[in-house]
Amino acid sequence: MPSEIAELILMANKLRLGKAEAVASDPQTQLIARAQAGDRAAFDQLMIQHQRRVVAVAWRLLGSEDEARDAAQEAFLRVYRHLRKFDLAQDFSGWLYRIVVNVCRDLQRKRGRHGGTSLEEAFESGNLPEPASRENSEAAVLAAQERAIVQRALATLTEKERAALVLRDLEGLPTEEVARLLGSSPPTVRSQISTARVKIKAFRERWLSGRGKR
Amino acid sequence: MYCTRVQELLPLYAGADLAAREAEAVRAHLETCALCREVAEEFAASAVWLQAASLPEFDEAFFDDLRAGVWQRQARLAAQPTWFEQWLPSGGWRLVWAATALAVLVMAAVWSWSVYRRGVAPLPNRIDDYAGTTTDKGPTVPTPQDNLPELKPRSANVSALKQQKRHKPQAVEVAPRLPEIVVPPTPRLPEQPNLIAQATWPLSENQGESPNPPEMPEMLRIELQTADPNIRIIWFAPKTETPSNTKPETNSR
Repeated sequence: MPSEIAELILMANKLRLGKAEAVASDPQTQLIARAQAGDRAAFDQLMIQHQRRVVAVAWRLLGSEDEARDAAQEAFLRVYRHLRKFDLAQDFSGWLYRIVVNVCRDLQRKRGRHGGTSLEEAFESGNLPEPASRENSEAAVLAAQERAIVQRALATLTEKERAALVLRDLEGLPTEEVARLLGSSPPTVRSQISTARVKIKAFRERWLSGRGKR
Repeated sequence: MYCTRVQELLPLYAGADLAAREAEAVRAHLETCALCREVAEEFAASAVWLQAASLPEFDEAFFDDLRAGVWQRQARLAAQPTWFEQWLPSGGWRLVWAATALAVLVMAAVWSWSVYRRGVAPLPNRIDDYAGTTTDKGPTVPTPQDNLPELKPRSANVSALKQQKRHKPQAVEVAPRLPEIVVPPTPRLPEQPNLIAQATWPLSENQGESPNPPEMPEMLRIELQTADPNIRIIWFAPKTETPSNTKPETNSR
């Protein structure tokens, strides 16, 4: 029954959009159509396909595993509730990105984190892991330290700078796409990315200079 | 391109976010400037360092727990009644419609009762008329007086009479009686001589004699010609007899 309904939805989209063959043949689109029809298994499959990316973006924006899991759950919940309004001709990944970014922004605001910490605060707050050499540390510990350092560096950025940098440099999205997801303009996004890269470079230089003194 | 301008563009150059023309200009400058080249390499290393930081290792249990949490929250939301359903009684829509209809009837009854209770104030039996009066001093401005016919009550039915008995008759405010304004008669002005008629008969000796109008005092016409030939002053004065010894003395010398 859900598959028949999904086919009806596909046919309706064909008549409305005129992109019949391209839409119908895309397995991703078929999966989304089935999920729109109420197929729970199809939606579960959609989650499996996108969960790693969603969690990665959420972790990079929030810096915590627990917060990333909460944000990912909230994002998928919003997708489930609004999936019926989704136009199959649109890019599902872009739509999902936008939801994840908005959820992370809402979580940050709820937890009272709007602007980034200053460079001094990032180093004065303490608990900054010592850069360990590769000879005497396990790879996992090293990786964890590096992640902590990167998270501390990202914390020096404002909410918008962080979102722009994560989507552009870590997710590899083009600037125009980033501007569209963030609801901003490409020149504004470029300016935010430029400022973010300067801050990250300054943080890294200071961290390395601290390592050199030891 | 100068170093200051190039170093402003280096963050975007490191991420390939510059336009082709600007990127070419920066690249050309970097070939000649060691300082800017060093800054560009620092930006590139920073970008690599940022991307190289791997994500935490999320195992499958993490993602299974993630998806299970989504379905649990969805089930909880679906089971939760909406705000309207929270207020909707267990009887459903029929009960709502019945309650609404009952409320409307009650409001209509209350409104009708309030209109019935308030009622209409009874009209006065006598109203001052507007006949005028006259006095010896002259005509007066008419003042309202009792002259209009007596008005009967609106209805003679029992309910109206009961209503009149129940309510005290309200005093009808009558316009205050205006004070009498006596217009004095127009005073009679003394008769003025008909100077125009008198001006037609010449009185000067040069113009010859003419008989005085009957029953009119003899008037003397005096004409004075000014320097302007178009202006002549004429006035009339009653002729008075002058004594003979008052003739003007002439200079006999």
